[in-house]
Amino acid sequence: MPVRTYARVLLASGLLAFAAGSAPALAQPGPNCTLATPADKAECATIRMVIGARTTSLDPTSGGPSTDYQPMYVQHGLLYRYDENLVPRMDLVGSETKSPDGLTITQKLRAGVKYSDGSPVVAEDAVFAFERWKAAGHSSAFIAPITAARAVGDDTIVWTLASPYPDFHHAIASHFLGIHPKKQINDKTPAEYFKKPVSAGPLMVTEWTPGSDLMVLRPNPHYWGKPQLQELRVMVIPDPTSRLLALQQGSVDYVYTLPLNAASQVDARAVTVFNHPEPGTFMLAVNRYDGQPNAALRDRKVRQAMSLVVDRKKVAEIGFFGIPEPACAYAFKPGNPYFQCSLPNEGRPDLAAAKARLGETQWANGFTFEMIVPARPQWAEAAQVVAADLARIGITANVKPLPDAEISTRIRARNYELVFFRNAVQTPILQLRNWFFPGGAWVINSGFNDPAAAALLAEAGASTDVPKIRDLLRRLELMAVEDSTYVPLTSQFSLSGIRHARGVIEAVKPGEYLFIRTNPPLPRG
Amino acid sequence: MSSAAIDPREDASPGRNLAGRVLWRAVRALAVSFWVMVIAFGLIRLAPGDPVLARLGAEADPAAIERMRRALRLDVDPATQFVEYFFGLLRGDLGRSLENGRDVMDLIAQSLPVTLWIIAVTVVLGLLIATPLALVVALTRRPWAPYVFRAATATFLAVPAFFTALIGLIVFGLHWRVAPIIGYEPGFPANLKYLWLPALVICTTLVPVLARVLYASIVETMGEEFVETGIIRGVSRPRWYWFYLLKPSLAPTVVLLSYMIGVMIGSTVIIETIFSLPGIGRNLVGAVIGRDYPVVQGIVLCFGLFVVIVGLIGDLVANWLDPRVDLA
Repeated sequence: MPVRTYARVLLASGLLAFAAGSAPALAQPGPNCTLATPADKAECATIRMVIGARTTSLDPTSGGPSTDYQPMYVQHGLLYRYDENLVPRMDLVGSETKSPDGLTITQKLRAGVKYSDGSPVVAEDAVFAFERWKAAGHSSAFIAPITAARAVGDDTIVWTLASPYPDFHHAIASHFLGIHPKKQINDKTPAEYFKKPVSAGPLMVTEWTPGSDLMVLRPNPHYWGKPQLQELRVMVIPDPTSRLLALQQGSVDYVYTLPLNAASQVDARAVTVFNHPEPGTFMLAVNRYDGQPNAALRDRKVRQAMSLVVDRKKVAEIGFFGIPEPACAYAFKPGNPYFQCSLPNEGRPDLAAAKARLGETQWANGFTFEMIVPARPQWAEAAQVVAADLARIGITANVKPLPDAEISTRIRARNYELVFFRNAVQTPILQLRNWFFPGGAWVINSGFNDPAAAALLAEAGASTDVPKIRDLLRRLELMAVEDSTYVPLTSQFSLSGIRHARGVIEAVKPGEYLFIRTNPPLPRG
Repeated sequence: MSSAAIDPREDASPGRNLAGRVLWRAVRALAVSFWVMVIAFGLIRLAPGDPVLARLGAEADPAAIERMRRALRLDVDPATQFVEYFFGLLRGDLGRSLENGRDVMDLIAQSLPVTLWIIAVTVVLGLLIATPLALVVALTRRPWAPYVFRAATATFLAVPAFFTALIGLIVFGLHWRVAPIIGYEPGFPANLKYLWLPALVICTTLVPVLARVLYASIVETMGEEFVETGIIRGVSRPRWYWFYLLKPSLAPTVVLLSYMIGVMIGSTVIIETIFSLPGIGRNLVGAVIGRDYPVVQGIVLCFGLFVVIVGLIGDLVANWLDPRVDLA
């Protein structure tokens, strides 16, 4: 009977498969790189980092998805670079002076800075990077106050500003100003050059094909600081659960954007799961354009009632597993020197006040609208919590999760009533500009239009006086509460897990900038 | 299968004009491919979502959006895009990815082998499990066996592949640590280390289907006179199993398998995502999410061609196993 033979063959095949698969490469963290090692003492060998999507381009002006920025950031030359706390620090710049009126900034490059191929970094390359950024048109609000950049000799860059610009260092620490040799880009084409660019950042790419699953980066031998890791392997696992399993298995070392229940799933002796507070706010945004069919949402008091009834703590705890903080203001909190609560009752729900406010409108008995939400992990769940709160005052929100591409298209086509989204930018003034200043992304998306708000922001954006900026932004936030086109919900966050010393590598503004600790570190102060 | 009372050992004629019929099928395959191409081109454009906004996001600058739209030639009307695409196709040019600028043909050439390997390992594993299983259940004299068999296969069919995949990863990857969760090495046999678990997962839906159809065929074949004739003639057991029982029963299974392979190329989309395998299915997911029109069109066309070719091969094999299977 051949069935027995089949059984034997099957058994043998199974054993072979077991043998073949039974040697998963385990983490080789290096001589001094364990969970217990302080980050500044760690020396890690290879760190295998996982991101959720393939890197499509290393060109800073490609306008690719934000998942591209992380591997891009560590191999760009940058005048200023974000540290692990999202503070811009001098990188290729050695010294800087500012004119008394604050309109001219002169930067001198560090002595002897070079690209990974040994060629010198010159001021003209930085000016070229700025011009490419300006021509690409991405995040133009960042560089709107910069009127010109020019190179003086090989090592000096002179920036001319239209007005004093407190966020200047944030702007030039953006990945859009990634510095690469002008000559090499012009000798090839940008597309060709950026397939294997040279680096003036801490790491350089040694292995990568656009759109592939693996990128290998090693320390740039000509960088002024020595990275505390010897190799970074950036790998792609699109499925969040598979990312968590790979981290648990030990086949990867660092993962960001884990499933939100990850902390309870891992062995805490081997893996640290931690939350990155992000400079951003989850919010509801109402379409204020004339074509928006829902008359109720056009009523300011209705929007105020909605803001009053939402239990932000519940959104954070049920929708997002208790990881973010409930919002009590529009602007984000981490590292924001101007932060202050502005929402009534510090953002806590007030059912009676919400009912009373709605009672002042013709929609006292409620109404129905469609809430679109990107189909990202937990976003729809958080939107459902909001919908449940709105139901308490008779408002029915039909939550509709949609793929990102469709959400973006509907928002830009003004084909929505209300959207659950987020507003994330690395500086508070730019975040508020996104919402309230003409040309801001969310102003374009929502149709918000208030010259008084724009004037307050313009004044704040041109000031360097912190108390004055705080006062201006507080007034702006109170106006925003009154208008309630946007309803802030919770802070933004991302969950990461690491098997080694925390802080050697860190996702800053997660999903966008990657921080690599070097020795010596980025200069403080 | 309704076999007439013929002796399957007779070397039945492969059919006249076999080459002509194959040629005719090839011509039909080309026509099908053309329509697949037209449908793929149209459907991805009908899907809501703008490729530029998918790339730049809802917070992008209007000027940057317009600039990219022009750079990607998305500002021209769809009819012109189709004509350009069609003539490009005739030159063997599937276009370039909107996302990363890579040649779509290169992208397919790089990722298709991974998917074909998954399918090949799955088919081999599936046949190795399904054939003896169906044979044992058909030949056993235990009356409860067919009921258990049906219940078990129905249960496996009811479990979605993504769930089985996650269970497989947890059990084999995490607890027993015998399967890698990430990575892939091209080339045989190194790739088997990464493929056996995904293949096993797909088999949980493939094997029940194949085994049930084969079981039904074998039971039907066993009712034929020539099966007993073989025993009376005293042919050897292996010979009897193959020529008298399996060969006459396999044709429907082979045709079904060729259909299932077509279905499988679709299910690899999920499997490749969960197992992080760099196959063509994962490229398709990324391209659909990013509305990367040239990549979606190229991959769907490739899928279409693949299904048509596999169908043709399935019919040829079925015709070889049972000449009554009509190639036309």
